[in-house]
Amino acid sequence: MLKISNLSVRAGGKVLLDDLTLAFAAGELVMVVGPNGAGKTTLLRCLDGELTPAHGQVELAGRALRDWPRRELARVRAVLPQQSTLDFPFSVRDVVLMGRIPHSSGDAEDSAIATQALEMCDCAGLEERAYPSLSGGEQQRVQTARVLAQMWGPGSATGRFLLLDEPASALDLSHQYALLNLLKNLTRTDRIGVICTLHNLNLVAQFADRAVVIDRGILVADGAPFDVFTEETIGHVFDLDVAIHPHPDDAKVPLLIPRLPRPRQAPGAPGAA
Amino acid sequence: MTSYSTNRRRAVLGLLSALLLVVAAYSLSSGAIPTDLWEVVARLPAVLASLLWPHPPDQGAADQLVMVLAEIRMPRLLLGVIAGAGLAICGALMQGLFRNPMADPGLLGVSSGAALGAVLTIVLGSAWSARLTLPLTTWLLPVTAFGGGLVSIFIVHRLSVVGGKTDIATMLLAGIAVNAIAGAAIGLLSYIADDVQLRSLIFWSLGSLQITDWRKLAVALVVIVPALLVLPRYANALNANLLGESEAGHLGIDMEKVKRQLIVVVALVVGILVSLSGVIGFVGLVVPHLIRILIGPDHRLLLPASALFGAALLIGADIVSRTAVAPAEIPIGIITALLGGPFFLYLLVRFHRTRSLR
Repeated sequence: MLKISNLSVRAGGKVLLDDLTLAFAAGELVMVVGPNGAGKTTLLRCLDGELTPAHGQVELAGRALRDWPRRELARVRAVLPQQSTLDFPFSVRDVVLMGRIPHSSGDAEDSAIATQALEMCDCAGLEERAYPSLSGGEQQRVQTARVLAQMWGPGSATGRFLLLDEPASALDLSHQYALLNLLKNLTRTDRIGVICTLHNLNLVAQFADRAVVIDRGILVADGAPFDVFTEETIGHVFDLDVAIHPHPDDAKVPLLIPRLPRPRQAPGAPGAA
Repeated sequence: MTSYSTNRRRAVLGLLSALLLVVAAYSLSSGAIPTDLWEVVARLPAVLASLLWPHPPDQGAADQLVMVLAEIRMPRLLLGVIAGAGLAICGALMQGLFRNPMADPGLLGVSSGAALGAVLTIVLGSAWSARLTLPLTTWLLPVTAFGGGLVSIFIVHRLSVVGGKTDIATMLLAGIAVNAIAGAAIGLLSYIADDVQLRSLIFWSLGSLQITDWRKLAVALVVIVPALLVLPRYANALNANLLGESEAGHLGIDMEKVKRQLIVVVALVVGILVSLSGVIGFVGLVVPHLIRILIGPDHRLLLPASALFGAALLIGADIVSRTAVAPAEIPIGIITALLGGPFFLYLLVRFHRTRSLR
């Protein structure tokens, strides 16, 4: 269980997170949504220990995050940041193998793990390419393979967690779906808890076990996408007029469709002046 | 983590070791007395014996070549090995630490900071206390050189790494500033230095591998050899650091601790080397670059390979410095700068053109 309680973060007189209390279980796919600047990345950076909150607690398996030995923590929790810059010409395979640094499983096993992780992220053909020569989307997939390699293993009693900040931002549509399927599988077959920020709400609706909606640092809603994604909540939080229909293939999946602008409401429409 | 097979690793390190051995052998057999390599090899046991028992009881007239080898060529060779290996590995470490291939102990002012520390001791030591006579200051030199280097690398690192990212322009400019300050201070000290002191000031600014005092060399060996053996342990941390400081943290590495330790080790190695051999520039820049082009950026191979190649390169440069205008000597710092300066320009041009770091 990864828990935050009464978490508040301030920076430069601005409240980034205000009194958030949340719990994440292993085997659960949780997606954090909210408009730009809502505090999604700040929340993730508190969960990964990068940011020390002004108030509140972050706990993993009942132990405060800062009391965890780093290496032990790195074996049960991996983090994919929004963007990583690696300018040195490591091969793709070497980048993925860096995910094995916290483990001591030996070269042969690490190598087998890297191969599988690369395959799962559709990077098998890139192995010997120099990382800086890849496209943005390819780099993002390689980094995902790296954190997969880091999470590889028999599992642990504390539960393993994978934190991803905008992992689909540079991916094309088919790779977005492939990634979300992969994350879903990780939660189901490996009992890994996945916490992920995402902007595409229809992807969230289709894949997330739970959607956490935050706006201006405040928790607005937390629950199954079906319950959380209402026309009212989305309209309020994102300032966007949407229609929500049941997905034609599965009525439990809400489908969000932004409404077309109605001429009589459009500001500056002909005749208004 | 590895995609270099163990075989490739062995091949690269084996080749570089062989290169070092060949250059070292050539270095031992070249000098004022021309010597055949086999004569040198045949005398090695005698050289070793004369080093272990400095005053052999009645052995008659000592072999002149044994004397030359034991007193001149051998210490010079060993200093060349640890200086080349130390400077090259420190360059590779700083490049990994700064996440930037332009970092180098000379360019970033670590060497000149160390030189200033040493020069301060020489010039002001005797003025400060009558008890600080020349023999005593010789033992103080590595300590004050270490201090000077530590202050320099700390300043440059503090200025150029902001929020876990290195700004290359700030880094190089901070290095220029530190070099300028140290250079000006050394220049100022040269006005109040006496003749003997002045000579060692010039020595510090140009660099030389000339050494005849085995005790000083022993101090350096005792500090630098263990450092060289321990440093490859930081390879994984430096690899992860290239992904980013927070990424390294998420991989279980305490980068703050690693940075502190590496900064101290770099200052220590460079400080001791400067106190013995003066400022020898560009080795730390050129060597890791060439190695990276050959075998890639993986520090697990880069660090030991740079050490071996750095040693071979510096001994090669020393052979040139001793033989090019024999019996006079070109200071070795001039030779490395002649090699490294154009190389640095080439790197800048390439960086400007491609924005790729290698």
